[in-house]
Amino acid sequence: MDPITTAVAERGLARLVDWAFTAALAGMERAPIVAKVREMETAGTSPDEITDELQKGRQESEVEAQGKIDRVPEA
Amino acid sequence: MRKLYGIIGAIILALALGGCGTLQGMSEPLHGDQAATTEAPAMRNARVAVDEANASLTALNKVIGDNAETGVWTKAQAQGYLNDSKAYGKKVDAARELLRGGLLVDAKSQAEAVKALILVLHKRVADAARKEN
Repeated sequence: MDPITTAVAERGLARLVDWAFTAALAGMERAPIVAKVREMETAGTSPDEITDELQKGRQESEVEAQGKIDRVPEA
Repeated sequence: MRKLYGIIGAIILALALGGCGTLQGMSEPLHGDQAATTEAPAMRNARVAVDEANASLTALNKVIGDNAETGVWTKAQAQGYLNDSKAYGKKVDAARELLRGGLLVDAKSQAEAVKALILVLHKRVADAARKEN
C-alpha cells in the first residue's frame, strides 16, 4: 500500500483533509518567517534580538488582523 | 459524489502545495544550525520554544485576518479566533519575561504549554476554513 493510501486508511479521509488543510495554512504563512530568521542569523543578529523581533512581529500581526476584522461590516 | 471529488481535490491541492515548498515551511526548523552553537543548550531550548510559539501565532493571525477580510468567516467568528490568539500571545510574552530573567526551565515549560494550545487553535481555524470553502 502506498503512503497516501495507508494514511487515508489509518486516519480516515476527513481527518486527513483536516491535517492537510492545517498543514497548508500553517506552512504558507510560516515560510516567510523562517526565511527572515535565517536572514537575520546569517547577518549575525544576536539570538536575543531575533527573539525580540519575532515577538514584535507577532504583536504587529495581532494589530494587523484586528484592523482587518474591524473593517468587516457587521452581519 | 461531488463532495467526494471536492475532498480528493483538497487533498491533491494540499499535497501539491507541499511538493512546491508550502509544507516545508511548517516542518523546517525556525532556526538554522549556525545559531545553535552560540548559546548554552538550556538557554537555546527555552528560546527556541518561545520563538516557535511567536512564529506560530504570527502565521495564525495572518490566516485569521485574511479569512475575515475575504469574507470566509463572519466578523464574530474571526474576532473569537483572534481573541484566543491574543490570549495565547500574552502567555508567550510571559514566557519571554521568564527567559529574560534567566528562569529557563519555567520559560520553556510555559512556551511549550502555549505551543500545544496554539496547535489546537490552528486545527480549529483550519477546520472552520475548510468547512466554509
